[in-house]
Amino acid sequence: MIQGPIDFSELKTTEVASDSRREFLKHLLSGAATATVLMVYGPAAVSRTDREFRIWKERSEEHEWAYVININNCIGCGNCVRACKRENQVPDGVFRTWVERFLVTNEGVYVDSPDGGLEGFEQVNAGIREQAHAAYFVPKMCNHCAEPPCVQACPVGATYKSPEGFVLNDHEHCLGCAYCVQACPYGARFINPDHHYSDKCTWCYHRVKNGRLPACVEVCPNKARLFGDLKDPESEVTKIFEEDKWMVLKPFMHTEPYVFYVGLRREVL
Amino acid sequence: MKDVSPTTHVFRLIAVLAIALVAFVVWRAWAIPDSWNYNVWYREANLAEESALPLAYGGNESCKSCHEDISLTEVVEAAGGFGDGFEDEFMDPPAQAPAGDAPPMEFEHKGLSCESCHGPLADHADEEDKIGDAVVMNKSNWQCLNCHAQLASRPAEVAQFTEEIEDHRDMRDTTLCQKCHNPHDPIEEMVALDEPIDFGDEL
Repeated sequence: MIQGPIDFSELKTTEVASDSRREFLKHLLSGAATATVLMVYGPAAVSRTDREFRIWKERSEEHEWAYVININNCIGCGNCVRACKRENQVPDGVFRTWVERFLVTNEGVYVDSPDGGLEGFEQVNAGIREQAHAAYFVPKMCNHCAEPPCVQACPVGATYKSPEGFVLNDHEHCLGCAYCVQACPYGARFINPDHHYSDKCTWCYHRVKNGRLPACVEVCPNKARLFGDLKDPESEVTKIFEEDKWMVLKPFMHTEPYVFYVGLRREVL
Repeated sequence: MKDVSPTTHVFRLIAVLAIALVAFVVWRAWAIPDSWNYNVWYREANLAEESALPLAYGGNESCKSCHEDISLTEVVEAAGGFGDGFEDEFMDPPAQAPAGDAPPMEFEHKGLSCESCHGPLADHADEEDKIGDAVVMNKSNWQCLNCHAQLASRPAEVAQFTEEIEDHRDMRDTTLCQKCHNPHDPIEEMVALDEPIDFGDEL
């Protein structure tokens, strides 16, 4: 069907387009300017200690504990694993902290942790040893995240982030459902085979509260493990933190760990 | 047939719901701990429970607190003898030396934790009372080789057992390290032997 001539003037397309284009460019420019300002001065530039976290809501004014593991210093003696076992009565076969050994070859990465490093390490076979172009020990433990997935997963509030930064497990309240064990990206949690509740490293909360260092830090012969308060400007961890040469495990998980690694290689991440 | 009011079922339903509601309220009051923190969602009393757990390790300072008065050298000599200068050598620097310019590798077993070999304080003393000997439970070479066996993954700065010298390597399996090396000062303070071992010029 043929209609009469269309009156284009009613559409005012050019006028509308010109208006919206101006608006669009205005928004684009102001948006870009805001983004630039935010990127420089916004949340990303705020230091970790001043940041706000979703799960770590109530924060202590006095302390902000942090743990540093220096890969370059770890000699793989297993003193920390043995001390942790004794201090915290950890049953056989499960570990609150353990030591892994990495040997990097051109064909792949060889990783082992015989009995968590409890009895130290034997030599690996010569085939791997001679091919390895990098070899080192990596102590592992609960990362005491600022955004702990285990806390988010717990259906009864038995695991929680304490005001001073410890991720703790309330054994009395815990059901033993093991949701937290699955939620932890670091494999740091387990169900205690003797008591059937969820168990994990507490950074030796009972020791720190009594003015001592965690047992693993206390026995470490080579200062591979350090513990301190980020609110204390003199503490070793604060200095390492400020030096900004640390890395955390699985940063892409956005768990914001408070265990900082020095000398961590990408094979470990 | 009994005369039943047409609204009876409604009242029955209300009664059942009321009982269920009361049961729920009672159960809820019982299930939520007294010190529950509704903001962060945890039982605050657990913090006190956790911090009341017993300590096993006391640190080198705790060893010093008793063994300073009665001259540690005497104690050690009575237990078999490790020679003079022990106290100066091992008791002055704390296990965790304060941060400084000194590289962490500069120590000669004085930076070690006593309890790593001798066992934790809790197995040795209760307050001021001795409850057990702080003896080294495992006296085998495992104790030394844990740190000093030659491993690819071990930092080279740590003195590693010399396997290149054949006699030394054989002795690892046939004799105890502490027959020659004083465990507290293994390089400087060698135990005098009746018959010195001849390693040739290599050592």
